[in-house]
Amino acid sequence: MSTSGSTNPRATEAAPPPAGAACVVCRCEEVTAEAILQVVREGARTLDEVKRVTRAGMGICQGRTCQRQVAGLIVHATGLDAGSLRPPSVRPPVRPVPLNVLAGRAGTGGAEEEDGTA
Amino acid sequence: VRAADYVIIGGGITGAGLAYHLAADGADVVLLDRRGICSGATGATHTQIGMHNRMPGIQLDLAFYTIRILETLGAELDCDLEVNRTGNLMLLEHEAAFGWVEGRRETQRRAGIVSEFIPLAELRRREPWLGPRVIAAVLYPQSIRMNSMRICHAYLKAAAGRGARILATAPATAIRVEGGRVTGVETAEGFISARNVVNAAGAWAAEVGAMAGVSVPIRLNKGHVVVTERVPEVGVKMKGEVILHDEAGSPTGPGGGSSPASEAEVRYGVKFVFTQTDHGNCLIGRSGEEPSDTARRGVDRRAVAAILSRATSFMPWLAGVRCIRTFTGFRPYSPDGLPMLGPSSRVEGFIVAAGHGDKGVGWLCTSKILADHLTGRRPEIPIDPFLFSRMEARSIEQ
Repeated sequence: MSTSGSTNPRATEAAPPPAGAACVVCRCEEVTAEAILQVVREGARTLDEVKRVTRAGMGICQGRTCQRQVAGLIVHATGLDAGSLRPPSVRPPVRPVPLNVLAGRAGTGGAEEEDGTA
Repeated sequence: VRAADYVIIGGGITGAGLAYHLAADGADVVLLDRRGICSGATGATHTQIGMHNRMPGIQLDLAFYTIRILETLGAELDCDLEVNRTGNLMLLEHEAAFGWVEGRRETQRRAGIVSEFIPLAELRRREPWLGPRVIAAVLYPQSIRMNSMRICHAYLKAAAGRGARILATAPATAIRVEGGRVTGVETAEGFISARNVVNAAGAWAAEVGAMAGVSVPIRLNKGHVVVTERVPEVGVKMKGEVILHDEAGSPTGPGGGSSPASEAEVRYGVKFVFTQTDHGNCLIGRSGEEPSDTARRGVDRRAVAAILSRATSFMPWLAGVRCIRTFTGFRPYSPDGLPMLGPSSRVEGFIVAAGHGDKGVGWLCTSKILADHLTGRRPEIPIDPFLFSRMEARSIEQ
């Protein structure tokens, strides 16, 4: 196995074969393996592209559960090297946070704070 | 890939639409993107056409033409594009602005924009999620929402079905110009010879222009949007304030303008804009910062805080809803606010499709207008005011 807890697709090892086309890969958005394979057949080559079209990884867990499986499906369908997959954009927050908590940061001083990569 | 009639640089809504229209006309098309399809503004937007802030003129013509296209595009591309006439509520805070609003509605009505004034009691009944700050609203029922990423994907799928080749992670590294005309594009995957190169690079259009020695003037404005978890339907799916002091002829004196904004709200150019998607997630914006550059793509927590403190003051109900994601994007404005379409007058075969500002998706008709122009058809809306060459003429005068 790759490093425990890693969500970097670079850490993905051998592509897991799809258990079945109807298998739900993204549980938050109920996206099946077939739906993901379909957009890969249509040309998607990155986790972000698959996400934007199918919504896999766009739900409440933000891909923490399914990201490696989606990467595995891309690798499985294309034969691309898992290490060559473009890592997905990282978009804060890491976990769901109530809006009033994030709003509460208004007015805090200091240098400009930037998180993540888009 | 060795050769093509057109190499399009940029896999956003504009480049994708052009790839589709040109391929449908029989051209051999290659589309390149650096970071994947929809990796720029097309993938970082509310994707709506709100009629509340439209006024008569050619910009409105582009919006209406886009709406007409969207009415049939899903069937044409055989894809659910999530196009919905959701309507849009313009939220009002001050009675002193009502007279100005009436005058504006009359001007809009003459241009074909329908609206309905919703007084306080009715608003409270229909929109219990709004806070006391809002005392009336105007509903613009023609406003639509769509899924820009699905549109982009559907365009490219249809283009590929007509022979276009999509290289979504192949950066253009150089544009070859010989004897005053383009001859092709160098990419990470080799040289592609082409007589026409289209710059549809959005926020990166100035960089791509420079590769061909063509100055493409782009002013970037960075925006943040906050995405929430799915929630039940909360009234009209799009709503937002109007910042009165930004509007011509509006009352800006005490009691007339928008409620005072905090220092952070001013610094980050915050304005309350709310959209609920078909899936139930809410998109909350917006901020706008200048000057900006594409190297600074990160999320600034203070901009997020400023957006949310203003949003929760308009819709207090949002306070307990959870944020699942935030994102940023760059609005690429032209100097005069109109898109820049068409051939360069300096480098033959170099074609620009850029400068859409915050309306790239709302002006997706521009790819049809430009494709018609390039293939010798008469565009439904005359291209003249949008021709890129106006920028080159201007720089000679200066």
